[in-house]
Amino acid sequence: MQKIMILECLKFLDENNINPFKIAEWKEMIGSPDIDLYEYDNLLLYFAMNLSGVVVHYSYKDKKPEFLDAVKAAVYDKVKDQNFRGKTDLFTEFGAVFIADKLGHIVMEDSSILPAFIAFLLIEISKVGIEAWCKYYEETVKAEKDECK
Amino acid sequence: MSVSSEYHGDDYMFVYAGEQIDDSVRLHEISHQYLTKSTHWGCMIYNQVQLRRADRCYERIEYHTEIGNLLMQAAESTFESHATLMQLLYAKSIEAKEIDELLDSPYYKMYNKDYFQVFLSLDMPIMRVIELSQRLPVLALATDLLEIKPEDWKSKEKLFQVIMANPLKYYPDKRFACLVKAYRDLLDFNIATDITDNMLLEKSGLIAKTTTYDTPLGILDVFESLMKRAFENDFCIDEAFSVIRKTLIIGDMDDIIKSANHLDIPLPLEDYETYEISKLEAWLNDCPILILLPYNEKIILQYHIPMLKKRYVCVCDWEALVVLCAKFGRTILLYNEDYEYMKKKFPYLQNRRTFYYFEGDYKYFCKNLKNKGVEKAPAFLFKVNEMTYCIFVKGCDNEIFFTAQNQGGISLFIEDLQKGQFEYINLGGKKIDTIFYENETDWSVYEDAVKSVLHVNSLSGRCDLISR
Repeated sequence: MQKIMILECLKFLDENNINPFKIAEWKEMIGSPDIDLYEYDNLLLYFAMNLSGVVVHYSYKDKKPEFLDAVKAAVYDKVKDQNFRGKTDLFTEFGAVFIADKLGHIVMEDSSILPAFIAFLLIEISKVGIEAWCKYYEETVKAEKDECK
Repeated sequence: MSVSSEYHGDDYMFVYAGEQIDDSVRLHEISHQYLTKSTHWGCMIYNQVQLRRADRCYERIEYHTEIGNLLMQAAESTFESHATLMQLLYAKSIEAKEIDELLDSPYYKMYNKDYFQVFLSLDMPIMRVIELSQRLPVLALATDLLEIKPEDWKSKEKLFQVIMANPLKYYPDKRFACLVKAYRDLLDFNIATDITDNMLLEKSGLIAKTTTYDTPLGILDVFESLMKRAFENDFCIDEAFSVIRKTLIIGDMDDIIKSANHLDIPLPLEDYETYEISKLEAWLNDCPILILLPYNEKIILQYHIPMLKKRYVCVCDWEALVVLCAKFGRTILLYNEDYEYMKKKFPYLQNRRTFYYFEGDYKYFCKNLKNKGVEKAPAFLFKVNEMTYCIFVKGCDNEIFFTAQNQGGISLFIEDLQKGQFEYINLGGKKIDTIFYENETDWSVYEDAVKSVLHVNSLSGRCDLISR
């Protein structure tokens, strides 16, 4: 299952003309035994920022795409669900289906974006484990979000 | 107002016609220009841009675009980290609140955060920090690029494989990450100013080719020979390198910053559709503008229909052009690069009203006018929109020179007007000024010329200047 998800992610990145060197970086990251969650997060941000084309224009006022945090939050809510505790395989197999309904409020022009980003996160979770990923999420993304409130 | 801008790997930064950039974004773009023109890797990107520009037949444009993009992508983190650090240092030096926006921006997270933190923490004058911090991207881009075999340049896939097969040798972003790590480690036992290039290279295990070839100008002959072998003596190479030899020289970052406010020029909006036509159609004689682009013993004709936002491209020979020009009574437009060549090759343009468009900055425009002996000439401003103006200058033999400029360029033009370098022609409510507008419908000729080069839909129009 994970292999299929990786192939789908690669296809998605390729179809969206993402920098091939960054794609290679992602492949290397998921192939290595230890994933640096912070680096992985930054790479996902890079992918999200570059979905609309190559980075030839610049604006420091560009904001982080909102869908990225929404996808992470939806994934987090689901993985915190006790039914999935310790069942990484089950989650990676069916997680996308469970999460998709949580994201009904996000309207994306390109319908392939949400499943792709859910897959990026599920691949990450299957590599590091649910506990480690949730801990990282709570300490970084969630903390940053709470601080903004 | 949008603050987006683009750097295309050449001499200027571009802002879409009608938009404006602020000082911080301008600094970001000129930082790209500095690395492009002062490093080996950047020089190869610059070469691809010039090769693409010289390819008037559009035979290899796609190829050079792809190779240029791939080279930019391989060095994206290096370029973006450097440019973002320049912005951060600038914001820190003027204690701007923008620093918080920058630290919070996705760019700060996406690129090399360690690089930002290391150099933001140095407590010394800003120019010294810029000097120290710039050595890392410069060394990262001092690659063994010239050792890549000519055949490996022939496709972007092949080039990608070569770069990835030996990343410490060929992949700037990988090299940059190693250099940042090495610098950070060296800082534990050394003060920043004591860390030399050799220490950095030794610590990171990298080789920098600048030690062999010095500046990009020193390596240009090697690159030219490499390109000729790779592209089998493509006709464009001589032309492209003749431009590169004149334009590659660049001052240091301090020099660029001083002249930065007029380096941004309007970029044509990309909303014209292009159609290639194989033969001259009679109806094309009714098009308002005919652009001539000489190329390889042929001539490329570009017809624009601004109202429909369409451009037709056709290749023809010089004999056919003689016939066409006899029939075609409308505006002929050429690019300044072809001025000398066209004067010799096609004398039929003499005394015919011909527009020459200058794509560069205002100083480039003035320098070229002076070289042509055009001084204290009649001029007027044509307002495109709030941000963009075109300057029209009348030369000899019914030649009209024009350029599109943003506010930085226009302020330099106003200064020159005050010094008497041009004679400003006001229309003053009339329809004819007898210099630029010789008959009542001439206003449309200028509109069509502007629309054909900038692709804007609507224009504000000609400006009268009131002296105070």
